[in-house]
Amino acid sequence: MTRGLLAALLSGLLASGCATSQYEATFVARGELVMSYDDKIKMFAGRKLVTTAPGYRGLADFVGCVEAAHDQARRAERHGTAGLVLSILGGSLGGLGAGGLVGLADGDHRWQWLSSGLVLAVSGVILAGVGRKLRLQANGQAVDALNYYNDAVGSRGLSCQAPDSIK
Amino acid sequence: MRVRFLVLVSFAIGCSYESQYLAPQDGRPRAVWQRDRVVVEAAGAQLSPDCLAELHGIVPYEELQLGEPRLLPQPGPRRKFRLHAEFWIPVYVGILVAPPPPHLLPPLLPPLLPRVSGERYDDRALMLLATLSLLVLPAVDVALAAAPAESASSAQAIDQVNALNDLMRSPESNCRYYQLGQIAPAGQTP
Repeated sequence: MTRGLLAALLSGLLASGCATSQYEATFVARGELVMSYDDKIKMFAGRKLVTTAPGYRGLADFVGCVEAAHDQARRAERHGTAGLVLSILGGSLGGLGAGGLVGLADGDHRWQWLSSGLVLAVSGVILAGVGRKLRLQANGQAVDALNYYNDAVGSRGLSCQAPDSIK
Repeated sequence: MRVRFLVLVSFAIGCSYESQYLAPQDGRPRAVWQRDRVVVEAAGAQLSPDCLAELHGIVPYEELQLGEPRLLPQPGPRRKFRLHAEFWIPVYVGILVAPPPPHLLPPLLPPLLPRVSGERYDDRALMLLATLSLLVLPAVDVALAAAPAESASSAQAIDQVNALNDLMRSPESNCRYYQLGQIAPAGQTP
């Protein structure tokens, strides 16, 4: 049962991590933001990489002249960074929690090992779950920022950047 | 106080982000966020069968990743399981664990699980439960932490939106975007 569960988790992990864009946008307006997907969401303008998930650094600056887009981009940056930190913490706690299995061999401190491991592993699940939820939220906010920006500026061939920064 | 904490935790874990963005119906397809994934929003674009066939030729996905729910296939005949009054014996396949020397013990918590007085069998059952949890939970942790947040269908939706916009901007395409007042070729509705 455990082996089956582990196999299902690993196959799910691999299946969800293999998605990649098969098509590259060709006819793009000068300042238009275009999405692509290569294991994570990426945003380009004029074939130059502007930002990537989960942190979306630089997106708020790029869309700064459209207020709604700027607000969503800043939220995406905040939630994406927090989500990344919590995911790393959650995964690390899970790894440390597995150390509780030492209790199987250390009869004198068996329950101390097992209890500590369980506390760490359960904390890891909670942190990793909240981290994943924040990364999802950041993705949604970044996609919203892209759409607000393209509606107001990008799809019209305009940009918030200096004219020579996007070609 | 405790209720407020529980509400906060359940909100943090359970509720997903709902986008407030409403695409204007200007005929430019967009990739929008819906139910934790990217989907195609046609935004008033006329997706004729010819246009969709052209799209299928460029990005070879079987389904257009629109936001509407799709019907699930009919489930197959149910299988019947016979239950036997036996215990399943777990097989440990991990690495061999050796106890550390006493001076290398990390700070450990006091035991959280109450010892079941009397029968030794219950103690072993609890240990088995804790061991199984310690085998499964770290794997869940790492899977949750490492897996990309978006679903694989998001990549398809992004490709389809990029391809649709390219087709609409190509003068010779069946998806070509018509401005108001322009006349579409026979068989196509602007």
